[in-house]
Amino acid sequence: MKRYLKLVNFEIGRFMKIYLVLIGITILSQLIGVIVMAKNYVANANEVIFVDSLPLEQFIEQYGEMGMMDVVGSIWFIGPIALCAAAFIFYIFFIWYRDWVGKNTFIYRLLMLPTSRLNILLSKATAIFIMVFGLVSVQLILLPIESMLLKWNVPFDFRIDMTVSEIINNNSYLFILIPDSFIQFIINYGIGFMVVFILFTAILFERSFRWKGALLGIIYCAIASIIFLAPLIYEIGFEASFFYTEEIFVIEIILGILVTAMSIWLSKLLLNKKVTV
Amino acid sequence: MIRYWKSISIILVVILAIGAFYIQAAFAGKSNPEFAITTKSGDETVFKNISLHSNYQMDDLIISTEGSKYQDELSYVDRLVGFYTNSKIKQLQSDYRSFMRGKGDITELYEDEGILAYAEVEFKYHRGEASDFSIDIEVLDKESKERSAFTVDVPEKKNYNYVYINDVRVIDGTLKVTTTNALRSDQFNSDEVHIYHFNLTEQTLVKDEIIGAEQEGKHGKLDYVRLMNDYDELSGEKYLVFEMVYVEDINLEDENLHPDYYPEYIGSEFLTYNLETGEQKRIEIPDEAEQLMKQMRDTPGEIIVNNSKLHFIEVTETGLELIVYNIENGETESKQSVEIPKTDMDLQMNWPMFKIIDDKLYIVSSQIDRETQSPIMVADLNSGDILYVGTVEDRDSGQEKEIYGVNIYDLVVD
Repeated sequence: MKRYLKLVNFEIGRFMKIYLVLIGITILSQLIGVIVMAKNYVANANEVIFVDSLPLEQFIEQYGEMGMMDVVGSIWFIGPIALCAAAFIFYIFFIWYRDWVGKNTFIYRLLMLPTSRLNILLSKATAIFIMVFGLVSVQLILLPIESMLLKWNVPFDFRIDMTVSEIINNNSYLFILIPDSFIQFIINYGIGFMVVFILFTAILFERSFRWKGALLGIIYCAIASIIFLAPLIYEIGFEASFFYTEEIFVIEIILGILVTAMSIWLSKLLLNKKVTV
Repeated sequence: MIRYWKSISIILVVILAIGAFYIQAAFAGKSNPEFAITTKSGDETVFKNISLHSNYQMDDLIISTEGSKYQDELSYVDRLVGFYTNSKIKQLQSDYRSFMRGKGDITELYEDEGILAYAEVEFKYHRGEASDFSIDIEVLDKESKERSAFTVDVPEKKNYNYVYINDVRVIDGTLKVTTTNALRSDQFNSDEVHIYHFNLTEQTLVKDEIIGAEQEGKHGKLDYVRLMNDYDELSGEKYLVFEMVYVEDINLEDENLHPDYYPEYIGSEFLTYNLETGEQKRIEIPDEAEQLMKQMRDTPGEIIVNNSKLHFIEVTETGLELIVYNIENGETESKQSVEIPKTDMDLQMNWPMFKIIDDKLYIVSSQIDRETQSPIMVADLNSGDILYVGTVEDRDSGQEKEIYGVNIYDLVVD
């Protein structure tokens, strides 16, 4: 256990610099985005109302009020989220391959540690989970701050105030990251982490058998997806609806756990028996 | 511990932020108003078993005399299953779980004391075109729990673009499936309504009838044929009633016509189909009803088939015009003007919904505002008197209601 925690901390520490940069970009881009958009809106309002002497009501009718939904839909906001998502998809691979590159391959030392090799896999996965949740938390903390910033920059008559939940519920991609029900939250991230474990297994296939392994890895991804999606493939493929919705729900939970367990078990096997330095 | 400070601080932030968000969401909830149907005048039992499928400020809810049930109060799985699932379907699914697998469409089901029957159109879909139509039939004997199933090809299936089911009935061991078949032709009117008769013991197709085939339209060109019976009625009615809609007979290929021009409505004919004898009969509806039909193209109104009677309902400036026509003897049974107080005549703008339950006509406003006095009215079909008035109130804020903007989609009998 202690070894595992040490490894998790070690993995987080190794990514810390990039991680902090990602968080920094997110904070800066989103906060600057709020200010820039608010200033632009107010400047436009000033010009239209004072120069073109359009009444306030008519201005709002034409241009709409400013609210967090405008900010959340802008590139200032989505950009850094997309960047973080891309970085973490890349990191799923990088977290393994970087141990193999360089002169003194680091993986050699990792594999020689007097601990179960499964711990290496679990610690890498855990590090990713913790940091992903960390980014979600940063977003949750940023949202009220951004709302406040918007309030300071846009006069009352021109803005729509929204609570954090309202902002999230009105935006489809934020709603996937932070759904309104906790069960949905667990389901969304459960699926995400299942995918992480499937990819880890595919990477270990490649590390074990190189070119042939890469092919095996792709085949494994396909098999895992087919197993997980089996009920849906059946229903769509045969145009038959056999299962009740609640049954599909339970079956999918079981299949998800099954695929994750299968991936971890296969990874353990590969790490213990086949992986080459 | 000190060595782990980076990880520990991330975990702390995660637990605090995500934890706070979901705990706050769980406790704060939304303070949804507790709407309930309350009786303003008359007997409250007429409102006991009805509920209103409605919407209030982005939230879907079901309002009954008990109070409100909001969609977001449902458990996760219940929400997946669906909020507005037909209560009859729900009941059948819990009573006959195995038989009801994959059968969610009430129009394709039939139920009486002895059996539960189901018909479904199967087809192949290739390059955007459906073909090779057949009808799957499944019957459950409620007593013996025995299931039988068979499939019969749709006769002359090559002629059709699509086939869909309007109604399923079983009479004396014969299953009658009413379908709309679109003909594979470029002609203007290309729908046919068929009634297929299946012998359930021999599992064969015994008859293929076309509704209104021999009818020579007294005016214009036949536009479409429509089944008027309530789609979610599972059994009971003796007649199926079809409306045959006629439009002016003009050549649509005429180049002088605007490309979007749609031929003008001329009139409707009604055709009854006696489910027991299989007799098709064109009925002569009274002139007043015909007049109502024409007006109803622009004003709210409805025609309801109930208990072998046709009910023509039109919203007027002072209330409703109600004509009840008896299919059995071909006579106008009653002709009433339902008086509705002036204050409630915002009904006219609100396109009310009509339902007949136990020989009483329910009139429900599709939108309930602060000013709406009587959103639910129940009228006697014979006398046309308003017997009961119900309203929707926010229980929490007491009698001094302050509600607005409740939209009603449907009135449902539980």
